Amino acid sequence: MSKILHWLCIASILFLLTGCWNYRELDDWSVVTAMGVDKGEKGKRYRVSYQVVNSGSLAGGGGQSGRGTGTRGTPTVTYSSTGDNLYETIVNTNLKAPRKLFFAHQRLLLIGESVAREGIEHLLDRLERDEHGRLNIIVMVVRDGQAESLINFLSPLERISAYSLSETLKVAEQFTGMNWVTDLSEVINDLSSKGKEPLVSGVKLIGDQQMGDQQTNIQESRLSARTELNGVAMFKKGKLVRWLEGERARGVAFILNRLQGTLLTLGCDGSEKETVGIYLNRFTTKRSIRVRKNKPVIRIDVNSEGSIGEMDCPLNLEDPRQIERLQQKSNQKIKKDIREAIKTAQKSKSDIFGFGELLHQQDPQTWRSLKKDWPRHFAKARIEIKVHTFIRLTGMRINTYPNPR
Amino acid sequence: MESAKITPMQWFCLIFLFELGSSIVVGLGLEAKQDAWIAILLAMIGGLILYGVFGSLHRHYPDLTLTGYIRCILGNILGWPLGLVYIVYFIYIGSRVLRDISTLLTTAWLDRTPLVVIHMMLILSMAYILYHGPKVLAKTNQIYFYVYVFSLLLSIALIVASGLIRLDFLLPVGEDWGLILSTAYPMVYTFPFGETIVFTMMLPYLKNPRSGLKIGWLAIIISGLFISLLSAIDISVTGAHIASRSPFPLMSTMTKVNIKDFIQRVDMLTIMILVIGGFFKIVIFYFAAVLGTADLFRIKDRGRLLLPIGIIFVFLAMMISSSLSEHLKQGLEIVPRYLHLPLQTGIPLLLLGVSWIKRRMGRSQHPRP
Repeated sequence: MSKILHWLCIASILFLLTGCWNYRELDDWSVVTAMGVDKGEKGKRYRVSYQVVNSGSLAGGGGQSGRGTGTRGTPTVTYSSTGDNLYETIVNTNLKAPRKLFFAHQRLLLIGESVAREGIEHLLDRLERDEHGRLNIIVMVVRDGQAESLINFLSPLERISAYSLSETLKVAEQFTGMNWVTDLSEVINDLSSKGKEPLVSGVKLIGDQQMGDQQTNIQESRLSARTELNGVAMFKKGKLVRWLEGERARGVAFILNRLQGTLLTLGCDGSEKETVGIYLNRFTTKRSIRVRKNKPVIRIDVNSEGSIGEMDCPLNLEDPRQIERLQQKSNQKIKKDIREAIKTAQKSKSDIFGFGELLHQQDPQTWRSLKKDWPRHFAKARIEIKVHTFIRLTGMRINTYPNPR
Repeated sequence: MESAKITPMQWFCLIFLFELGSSIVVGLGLEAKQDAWIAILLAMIGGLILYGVFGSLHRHYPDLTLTGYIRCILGNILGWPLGLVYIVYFIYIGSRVLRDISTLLTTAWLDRTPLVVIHMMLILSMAYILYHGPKVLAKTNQIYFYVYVFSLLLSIALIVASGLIRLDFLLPVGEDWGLILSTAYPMVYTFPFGETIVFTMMLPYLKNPRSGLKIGWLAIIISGLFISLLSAIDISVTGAHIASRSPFPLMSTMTKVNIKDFIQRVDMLTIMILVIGGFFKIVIFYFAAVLGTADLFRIKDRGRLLLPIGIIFVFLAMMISSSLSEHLKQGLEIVPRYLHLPLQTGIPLLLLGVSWIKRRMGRSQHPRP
């Protein structure tokens, strides 16, 4: 009898060893790669679209030929639902989708411009509360349009357009300096800080809007619908207040020390048509802030290094003084970018640079007295800018080829 | 009492895993915002002094456990009930840790597994270890110590390699010393440093008490530094805002790890750290409760106590609170002040004082219980 009991006990342990209580098979899930938030309709607050990977199409697609995909459908599928909060839209999506949405692989959060203008203060809560949520989801604002149209978008090269977009942003951060990656934790930190406002890169669908979600779109070499990074959205109290364009956005990147590479195009002497392109690829920005008589004084020191990338005028680069003049010109140009960026922010009283946070870090006492009214103090802050540019190299040639005419 | 069995190295591993156990996952001292790491270091000093108190009590009664020498010092009438209080205390704190672990597991991972199942699995394997006695406990602990330290260092390396550390999140240093002090004492001081009181139940098992006690200091210092470092890492990765709102900051930190889009989603490491650390913390409370009960009720065969006490653990951890908020509220406000402070600091100091006076008056002949 006791022997039977003994074996029964051992056998019952087998049930524990399977470890299957919480098991989920991969085919129970819909892997969400991107999420787009738009204004809702029919009295609902949001309309949210989910880009879901169509795993069948990806797995058996036959590599780059793209022929297999035609029969198995598009690489991603979009589900959209309305609801008063994000979770409601997730739940409602399961009225349409055969599998449960799974967010651990979400790469992108796209916010439609109209939603951003109304405010994103508590929009992000669901994303950080989710147990599969990631803090490094990239956030972008869809300019002049619906986030849904970008969620639907089918892209060439990268088959999942969310990945395509996030890679584009990363490359832009490295080479243009006019857009950069902002992730979820950064936006949340900025929203919850009194001394810093969020900045989020913008993206736009251009061309034939109707073509973006068509498989035929990516079968052309020149896409009829394309995505393009466009401007950086500037927030204030959780609401989008204005867009920073190209060089002004670069000015912000200089101040935030976010630049990895950028091209300065300077005019040559006397002629506006002829230009010198200087590619900068090393940057350090030091910032400090003091408060003198209730007025913040902000000091920005920028050091950058680069090389001549292109020159279509006959400057004599063998002469070090010529290089020095180019450096001076670059300094002026960078200074102008920075000054304009700050002026714009001051005009809308939005401290996107985090100078308030900087003051908090460097002088918590003073910050305590200024923090209540920080936007106003920021708006009248005095700015001192010092820029040093060093042009170290000239590329594979020194002077350009002579033009005998 | 069996002969001494725990080597100094094993003693070090026991204390190290015990201290880090649940404290590095729950984000200790984040009430002090970006200065949490300072609060932890401050609290560690108190923890070291307290360990000294336990050590000198042990030196006076080298082969008795806490429940044993309480009766020697205060007499049977006062000492026995107080010993019982300590047993209840160990069971209660042990179940709190058990609840911490299972709650975090269910929020982060096993969202459909009932708490009772997680509790049972953990307690059953602990009972099995304890069935084989302190030697097996110490050895298992030592093996997992290496696994644990490896996963910990790997996690830190991955975080650093992903370039996630932003030191400016740690500024300004020392913003509000009042807040730092009130976080350190009593909060961080009692949990996890004061909890070393549970080791007074195991001191007699030390093979080489002198060097064993000494290595305990080292264990507390090193674990204190680790806890402080990890809390600084949590803050410098996600910022104090996010970390202090998270019940599980290390998890949020680890989700950000991404090295060249190649090494990412390494949160399994966090789960390992959570489960190993929690397991060996609870098992020590469990063991202390069993030892104390065997001592008070003069039960020779400890094995018979394992299941009854284990069952108490499983169900107490279920009933302790109805929600995470309640659990946290108790753990952060009530327990440190009204349970930890008197039982971890008050009574040991009292015991030390009384035993010192007794010896001064030359009446150190203690009646054997």
